[in-house]
Amino acid sequence: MCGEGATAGSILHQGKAKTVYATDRADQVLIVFRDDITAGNGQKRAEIPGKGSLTSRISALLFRELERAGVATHFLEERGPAGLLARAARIVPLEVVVRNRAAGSLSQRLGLPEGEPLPRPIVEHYYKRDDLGDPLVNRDHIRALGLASDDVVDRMEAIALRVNDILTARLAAARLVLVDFKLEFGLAGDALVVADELSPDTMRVWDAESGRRLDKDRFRRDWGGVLEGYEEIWQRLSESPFTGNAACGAGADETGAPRTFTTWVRIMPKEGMLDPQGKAVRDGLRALGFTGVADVRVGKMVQLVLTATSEAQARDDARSMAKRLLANPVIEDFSVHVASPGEGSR
Amino acid sequence: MKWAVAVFPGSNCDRDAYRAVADVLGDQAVYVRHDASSLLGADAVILPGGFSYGDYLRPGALARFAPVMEAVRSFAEAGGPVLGICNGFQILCEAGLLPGALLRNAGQRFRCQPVCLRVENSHTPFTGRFHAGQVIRMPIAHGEGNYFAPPEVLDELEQQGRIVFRYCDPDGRATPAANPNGSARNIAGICNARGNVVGLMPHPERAVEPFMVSTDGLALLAAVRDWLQATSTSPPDGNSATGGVQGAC
Ligand SMILES: Nc1ncnc2c1ncn2[C@@H]1O[C@H](COP(=O)(O)OP(=O)(O)O)[C@@H](O)[C@H]1O
Ligand SMILES: [Mg+2]
Repeated sequence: MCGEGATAGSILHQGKAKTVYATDRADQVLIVFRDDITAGNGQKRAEIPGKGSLTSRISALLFRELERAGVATHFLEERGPAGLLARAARIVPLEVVVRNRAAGSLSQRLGLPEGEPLPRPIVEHYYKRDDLGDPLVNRDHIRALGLASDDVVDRMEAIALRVNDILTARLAAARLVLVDFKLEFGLAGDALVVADELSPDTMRVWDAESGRRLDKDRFRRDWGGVLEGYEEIWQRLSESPFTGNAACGAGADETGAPRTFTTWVRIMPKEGMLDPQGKAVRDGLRALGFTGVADVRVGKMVQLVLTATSEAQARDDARSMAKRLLANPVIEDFSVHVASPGEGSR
Repeated sequence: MKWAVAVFPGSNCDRDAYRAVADVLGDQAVYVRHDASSLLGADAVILPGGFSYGDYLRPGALARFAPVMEAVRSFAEAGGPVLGICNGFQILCEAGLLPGALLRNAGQRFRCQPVCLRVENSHTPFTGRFHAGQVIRMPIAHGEGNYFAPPEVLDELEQQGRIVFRYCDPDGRATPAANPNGSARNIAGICNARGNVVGLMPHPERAVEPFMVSTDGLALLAAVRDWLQATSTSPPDGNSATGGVQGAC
């Protein structure tokens, strides 16, 4: 059993929605999700009983999903009804926002109608400073303030896009649209990990059919039904395909007898690389009247059925296969996805 | 001299290459199959054009695992002359014997036409009968001949004189208009650092008789004979004269 209440030590940080506690291990922290909800950088605040438990559970579920897809996060396990045990991290003072559709401040600043799909995801950086109202910053600002090295910014951006792919697919399986989200990163030891939370407090999630908002915008815009929205997201996520190992020992991949893993290697022409095939397909689609096609890139998908003792091993094997044969590193990038048991090959 | 012409499933220029060296040039020639483990004592090897393994995955990606490629690799490492033509060039890149990769033609079309090439390096085993700057003519026939390498690799190739042929106009100018496939810096052929492994997209074996585009391909193939003679009559290693560099490690 690992659900026992952790021996919470001193408070390290009392934020707007969470409290970070020290634990008996210097490399671990306990993050407790409170029922407080704030907007407009704390100008508007309320308490919604039950919210902390939901944001904590949704975060845990999505962190597991990222770990399963090979993205390093700070998540270790769930503790109590609204707590996460996490790797202690030095938080990079930048919030990374990925947007798939226009909404919120982007709509306001650029005059794009809310909900307008963006031709490709937009990545933004915000300087994490409450007293300045978390201003939008660009690479030159980041360098001038020494907030993070170019390399770290590059890596955060690449990981954020990867996370976007994973979460978009995961939410789509629950008939939800991921409009945008915010990530925080931290250094746990030498590793750059996704930290903080992944919940409707930090992402915009719409119902795929009706477009109904289910996230914190309900609070920001006084629409009511905030808790119901969060509940709905939790219900749908927990009922749709998911294989994270329940609360205990989550994140750790169990090894044992060899099993088969259906694994996909997605291979794409490198970013910025001329893709005549994609161009031809794009022109073809436009000729068919699909005027909204802004860009097309054609890659390939290789489906492998692998025998391995753990999911991590299957992923590692597929990666080396991709490096040695399936992709040509001079011209192509690849990503690996190991199917969850319920996830059929389509 | 004796040539080996490699044959992969899907090679289709193997017989043209064989004919060019055996019947037109009058040298000895043997086919070596993809599953052969030796080059049968050949003095030079040709990896011919075609669609080895159906171009599955990427052109050349699967041919590089054929057993004969082990023999080609050690032959190349020992300094033997290796010529990769078209798909053979793609195989050499995939096998890591030459840098870079060949992408789909920028114009999206299969290009089958005569082209002019400017000889940039006349010191390889295959270019000794040309002089640098000379314009020669050969046909191309490919859908994926758009040479790509990262800029730093291109700079290195340039600095080390490893660009062997460039697409050019009849006056020898390497213009964008003369570039049939979008190749970086109009590159049509390159060589390895030692110069003995040459890959090119154009087809020298299709330019060997008077009725063809030209006989420049014959000069390319014939040059290997001169090169072999020169290397076998010159002292085994120039180092003895200068004392060489000993104990450098
Ligand atoms: N793994 C971690 N280690 C240390 N600090 C973390 C970790 N994950 C998140 N944090 C930080 O803990 C705080 C969480 O509380 P929150 O209520 O979101 O605070 P804030 O008001 O600063 O946004 C944030 O400042 C966040 O950066
Ligand atoms: Mg926060």
